[in-house]
Amino acid sequence: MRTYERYLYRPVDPYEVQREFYFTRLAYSGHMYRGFAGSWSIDYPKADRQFMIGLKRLLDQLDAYDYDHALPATDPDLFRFPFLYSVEVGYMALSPAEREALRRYLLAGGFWVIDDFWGSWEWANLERELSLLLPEYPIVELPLDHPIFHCFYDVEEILQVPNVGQGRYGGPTWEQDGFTPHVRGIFDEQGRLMVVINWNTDLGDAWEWAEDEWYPVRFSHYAYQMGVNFVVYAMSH
Amino acid sequence: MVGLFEFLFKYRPALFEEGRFTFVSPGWMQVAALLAGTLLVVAAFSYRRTGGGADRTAGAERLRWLPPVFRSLAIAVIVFCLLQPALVLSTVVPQETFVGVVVDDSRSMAMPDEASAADGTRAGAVLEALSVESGSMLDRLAERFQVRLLAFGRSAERIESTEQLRFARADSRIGEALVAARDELAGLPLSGLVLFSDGADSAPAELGDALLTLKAAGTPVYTVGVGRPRLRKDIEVSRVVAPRQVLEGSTVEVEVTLSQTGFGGRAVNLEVEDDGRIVNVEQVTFPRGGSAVTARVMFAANDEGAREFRFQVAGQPGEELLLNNERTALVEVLKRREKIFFFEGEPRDESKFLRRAVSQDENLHVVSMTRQAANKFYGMNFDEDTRRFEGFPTRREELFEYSGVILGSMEASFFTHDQMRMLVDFAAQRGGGVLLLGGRRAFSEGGFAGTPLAELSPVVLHDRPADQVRPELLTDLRLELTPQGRVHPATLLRDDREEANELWPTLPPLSAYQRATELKAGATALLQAESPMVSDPMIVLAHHRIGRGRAIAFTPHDSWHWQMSAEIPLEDQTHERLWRQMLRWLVSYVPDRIEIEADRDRFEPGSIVTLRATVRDEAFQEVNRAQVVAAIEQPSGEEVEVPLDWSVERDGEFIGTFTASETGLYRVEVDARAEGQLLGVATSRFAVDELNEELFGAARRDSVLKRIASETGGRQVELGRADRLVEDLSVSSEGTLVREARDLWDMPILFLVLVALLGGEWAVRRRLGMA
Repeated sequence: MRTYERYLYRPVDPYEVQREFYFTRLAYSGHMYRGFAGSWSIDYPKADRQFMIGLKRLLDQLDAYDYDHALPATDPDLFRFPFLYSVEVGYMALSPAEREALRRYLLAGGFWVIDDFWGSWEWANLERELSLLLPEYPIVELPLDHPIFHCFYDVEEILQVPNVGQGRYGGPTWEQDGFTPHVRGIFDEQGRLMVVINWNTDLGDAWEWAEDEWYPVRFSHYAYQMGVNFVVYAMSH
Repeated sequence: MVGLFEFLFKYRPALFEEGRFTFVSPGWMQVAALLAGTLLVVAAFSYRRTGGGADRTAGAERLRWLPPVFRSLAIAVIVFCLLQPALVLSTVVPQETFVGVVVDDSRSMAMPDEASAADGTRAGAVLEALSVESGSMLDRLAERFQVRLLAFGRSAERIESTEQLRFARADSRIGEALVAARDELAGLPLSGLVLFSDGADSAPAELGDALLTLKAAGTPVYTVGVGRPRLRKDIEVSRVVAPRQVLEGSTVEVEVTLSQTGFGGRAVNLEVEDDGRIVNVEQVTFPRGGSAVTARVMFAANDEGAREFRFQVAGQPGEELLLNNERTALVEVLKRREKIFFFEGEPRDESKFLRRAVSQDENLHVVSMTRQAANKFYGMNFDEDTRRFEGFPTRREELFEYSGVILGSMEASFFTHDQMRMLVDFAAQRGGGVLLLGGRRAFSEGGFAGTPLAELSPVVLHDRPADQVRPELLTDLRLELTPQGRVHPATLLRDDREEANELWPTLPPLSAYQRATELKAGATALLQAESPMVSDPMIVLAHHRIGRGRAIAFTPHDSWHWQMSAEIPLEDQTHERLWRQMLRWLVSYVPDRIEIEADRDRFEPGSIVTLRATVRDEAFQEVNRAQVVAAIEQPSGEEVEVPLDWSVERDGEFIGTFTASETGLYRVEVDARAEGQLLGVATSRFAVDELNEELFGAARRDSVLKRIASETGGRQVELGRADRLVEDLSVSSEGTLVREARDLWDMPILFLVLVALLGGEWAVRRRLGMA
């Protein structure tokens, strides 16, 4: 049994009924382990399930699978799920096979949302991984007038979403030296957005702890807006 | 047959038709009848007396009455001759009547297929017939008539001698030439016209009008055909049916009909040339039995502008005529964006990847509206050329500005009745294309049955089961082409047809919610698939016509796997090509609000070009009260304005004519206004060139020659039979005439009948022992 599979718990077989949308988390190889799984599984599966509750309520026409859905990059079925979500990519260390599969996935039409990694050291790790994955495509800052910020909700500013601990207790919103939140992206030669990078922010925790009375609602609200926009954009462009 | 008749009856049937029968000596009639009666009585009496032999058998008894009958009939024949039967004919007075000899001076007369001529050509045969030598047809005619020679190509003009004939004119318009010849000789006592031709008529107008004119003027035309009625060895590009306009980068589908004689069973290469560059070669095999074969040729139109595509077959060994081995078609390759409205009922990857597949196509502008949440839509690709609206349009003007509509997974209950009717009218009245995509809320599963949307579906729909929460997905569908799909341009996923046809079953399997197994009457299926979950083959891609437009159904909901499958190489363009072709097919031949077209795409120099414009308003209602002006840019660059008038015959149709004298490419831009407001502009092109039309169907056309003769009261005459021609013309009812009685008593038939009757009588009498 592969590492990520030991960690999976799904109340409903995801493939019993074929759905249009699966919130698919990339189970990548990495340096950090948490129980049986690696850094990919931070906030998993609660953040994913909680996001799906909100997503299905807000996008009520979306035929989506209700629960979490994680796959490694080397799974040939990955190509059946054109939306990917990843966290803690500061610890990501893709194998050559993963890299090849993921590159192919993105160039074929896949869409990858990266979230919850902080500071210059973790950025450097991601940058290195991306330079090996998509060396010919630069990482660029996404301006606020990009359709990804307006395709469902109008997002007028980029908020820094703190982790649950700092959010609950009103501490600083940043971690490490990640003081300023950024939303960056990678486009292919036709101008199609392949990768969205949410740096110095933690949308996943805001979804995961949206029901917590101590976690500020404005961060959850913003995180859902961003998440919904990502899904709408991914399924439209 | 006519020869036997002439031998027995002395004259040809034609003279009996023209003349009136009479007896020259009617005074003899009573005496002759009295004499005949007396002879009959005597004959009967003599037979009665010799009648009784005791040993006569019963058979002999039955023959007893024959001798008197034979003898009586013989006497009747003699009496008939004594009455001097005669045929009264009106004949022309020698040298007081004129005959016009009209000679086809066109290029086709140079064909070497007339064995009677010394040089073997049609022209040679004509020159021999019209030579001044003794015994020629012209010589024989000149003995009795004043002969006027005329040569014709497009029209007829007088010539003094056959030396002026060149047999090099590009046109031969027989009807116009005959009328012109009649006019040239008007006022003269004209016995008729003699037409020397191969019957090749390149006139665009129907021959009937000219023939009616000649008939009304009482001018019979005697036709003398030259050439063989069938070429021994020839290949001809008989017909090319090509679209007038296509989008740049589209696959152009052209039907080319090739005819042949003497090449049955032979395979030839049909080449398609665009500006000297061969863009496709199609091998065509002629059937052994039949003569013609129609090939469907496809090629890409990649260069913008008016393109002259040449379709040609290389000359084959022994072929008699090579000039008819090619034809050209004028196709305007347009660089414009066809607007398509994509209405999707739910966010899904199929619609995302479809839009992506065509996003790089500069000729397709797909505006989409996707329902994300109840009553919340996400519109994409609206720009300054497209009106902004939310949801599905409620006004015809909003919807009808598009050429095509794609309907995704959207249930029928979403629409108002008016919106559904409007969508049907979009196809039926506006002439647009509607593509119905499969999905869990589409077709039967979307409750289309029993609503106006059902009219759009080319497959038969059924009511959705009342207890159905979610339709079952049919998986592992491997698509295969139907026989119609194997030749359709929309399924051409590779440049090579065979390669494309072999590709389909190898593509990753798809899935669909639609159990479409039954086609509507008049619909055509292009793709089907087997499923273990359904007994009959499932229809995957089908289309049918709806009024002026068309509707297409594509039932799978996940063709995007052909873009994102791990089995498909990244550089593979199958998915992109599929949707580019589908959407180009969807909007092909969709009419514009303002349209302008010449009656043909190619004309001969000097032709009258009829321009026909159609004018409609934003809701595609025809407009009759409009000012329509066509600006024609001639090949020299000079511009001519031609006002077009409402035709009255059809709503919104405006017509004008223009004489195209320059050779080259013409551009027409029409401008339509109503109450000072510009309704729109449209452009079109046509070419003027030497077409050599008469070289197509180059064998002698007896049907044309026969028709001209029979409808004008003339006759078809064989080459060299001057005697017949002179005789026919002499008994014409036209010209300076005199009455003439021709004896019939010496007809060989009368002598033969007399001999037969007397011989018969003698034979019977011998049998009866009466001799």
